Amino acid sequence: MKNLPIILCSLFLFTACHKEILIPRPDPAEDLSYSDHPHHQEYQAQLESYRENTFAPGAILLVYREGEPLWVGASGKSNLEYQVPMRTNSQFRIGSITKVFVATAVMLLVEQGSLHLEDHLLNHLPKIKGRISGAEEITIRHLLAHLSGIFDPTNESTRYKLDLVNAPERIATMSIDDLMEAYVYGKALHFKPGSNYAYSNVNYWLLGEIIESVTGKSLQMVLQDLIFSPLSLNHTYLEKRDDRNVARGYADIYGDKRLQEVTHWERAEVEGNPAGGIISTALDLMTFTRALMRGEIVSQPTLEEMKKIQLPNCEDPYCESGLGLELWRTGAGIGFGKNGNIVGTEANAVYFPESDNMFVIYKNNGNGSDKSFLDPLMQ
Amino acid sequence: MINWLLKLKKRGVVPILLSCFLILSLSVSGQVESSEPKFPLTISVFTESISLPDFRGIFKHPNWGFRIGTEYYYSRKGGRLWLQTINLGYYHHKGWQQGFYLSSEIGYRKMINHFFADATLGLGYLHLIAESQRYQPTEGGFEKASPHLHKLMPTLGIGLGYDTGNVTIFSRYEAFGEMPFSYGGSPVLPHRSLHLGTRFNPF
Repeated sequence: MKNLPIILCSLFLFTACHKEILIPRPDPAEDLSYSDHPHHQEYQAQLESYRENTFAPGAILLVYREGEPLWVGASGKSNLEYQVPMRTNSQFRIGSITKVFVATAVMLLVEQGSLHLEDHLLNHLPKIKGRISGAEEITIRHLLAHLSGIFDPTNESTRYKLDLVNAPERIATMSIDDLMEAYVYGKALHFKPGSNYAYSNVNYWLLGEIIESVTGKSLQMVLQDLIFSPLSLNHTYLEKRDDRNVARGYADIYGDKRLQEVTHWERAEVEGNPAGGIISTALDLMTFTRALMRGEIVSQPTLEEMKKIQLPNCEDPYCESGLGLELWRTGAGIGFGKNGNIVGTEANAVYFPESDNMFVIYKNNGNGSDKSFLDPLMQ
Repeated sequence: MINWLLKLKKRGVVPILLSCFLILSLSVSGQVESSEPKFPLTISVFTESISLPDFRGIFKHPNWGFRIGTEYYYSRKGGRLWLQTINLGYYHHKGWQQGFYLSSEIGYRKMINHFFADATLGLGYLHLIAESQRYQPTEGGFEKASPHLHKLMPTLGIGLGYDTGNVTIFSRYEAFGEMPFSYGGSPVLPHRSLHLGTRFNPF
């Protein structure tokens, strides 16, 4: 018994070995250079400055200006573990920009007559009946425009956020049904459907389920058939895959000016998920956005419906949302697009119809950022 | 020798050694002092998870830890006592962190025959070893940073137990915080632990 304290102290010291999460080594890859662009140095300097100001390990900027060659730049690192340089063609998580792809797929199904914007949610997903009070009034349009009033655990539930930190591997294995069961069912709607706006990722969880139910195919297959293949988006996908070559996500979670690797949280939260799971590149995002906004994927009347602010009495920039598309009032005029934020990622793709200009910007730190430096470029 | 100490400091082992020293000191004083108050040894194993303070899924995929400590009794009157604890603990939260802590709590305990219930409120030092890679800025980039973190640890606990006279067995539910923290707008990351343990006088 005399040696008990020594034994216990030894036990403490013995346990103090460091166990680190293993990060897979990315494959070597070639970069695409745009250094012969007439404004390369100017744009690159702005990108470098943006990356440094936002405390991001890496960033990508794509600038498309009518009358100028396309420019894409990269800065910093995509993977700090192996100090892999960010490349202009690096794949990254696009977060909620995924919703524009899903909304486009829904609108194509509407054009085909397989779905109608005024269809009720319960007609397509009767399993929800009685599990969300008031859900019988929710329509496809409400889901697309965040007018359903459905509770959003990813932004509103402390329990969901703590569960993600506690055991990301458990969140990763949960299906949409499991997530609904654990965090959404039983929660009252925030308002009568159609009467107000509240951003909720659950709207797109449900749209993903509706697409699969209507087509009988996985959402990945539907997106592949309707969007990825026709546009040759060869570096874009939704399904869960080996992600060793995808840019890693980082966040300053302790507020101590240190970045922590948070890719396992990102994977758990969005991988394969219709609200934020797509992985893409800046070029693929540009190809998709320009094709959509020029009426090359959906018809012009459908595009106008997607761009139209859906809440009739909206008087706040917060609710200026169409069907999957958001309206951006910037110093360069009105743009349409979407931002995507996950814990270690921020991405934006915005198109300006008046000038036909657009930008894609991405960084692998999930903090918000000021992008007004792009206004002069988009005018 | 100095290099060795600096190396230990860099690895964050110094607080652990200091904690061990403190426990050893308390144990030695327990051996010398035969009259009241004594310093019983408290040992427990516990499950740990990051959660609001509730019992939901507490046994689902638990992370494990253990704790040793002692208690000092300020007053014992009619089955009621005020006490001070000092504890050394360790837990391993898979994929997130290893935590070593030194904590002290003020507590109130009510005895009813051999049974008792108590409540504690305290503060501690929590030494963390992050399992996710951390990086610090350098000129123009980022480099690997130390995984060691130093945090404050507020604690709040309730317990139930049974005292046989020589040995006590008990169960404690304890919520503790990891602060500062800044993700999700919260200044504190809440943890919870459920202990099963024993208290006895080893000397």
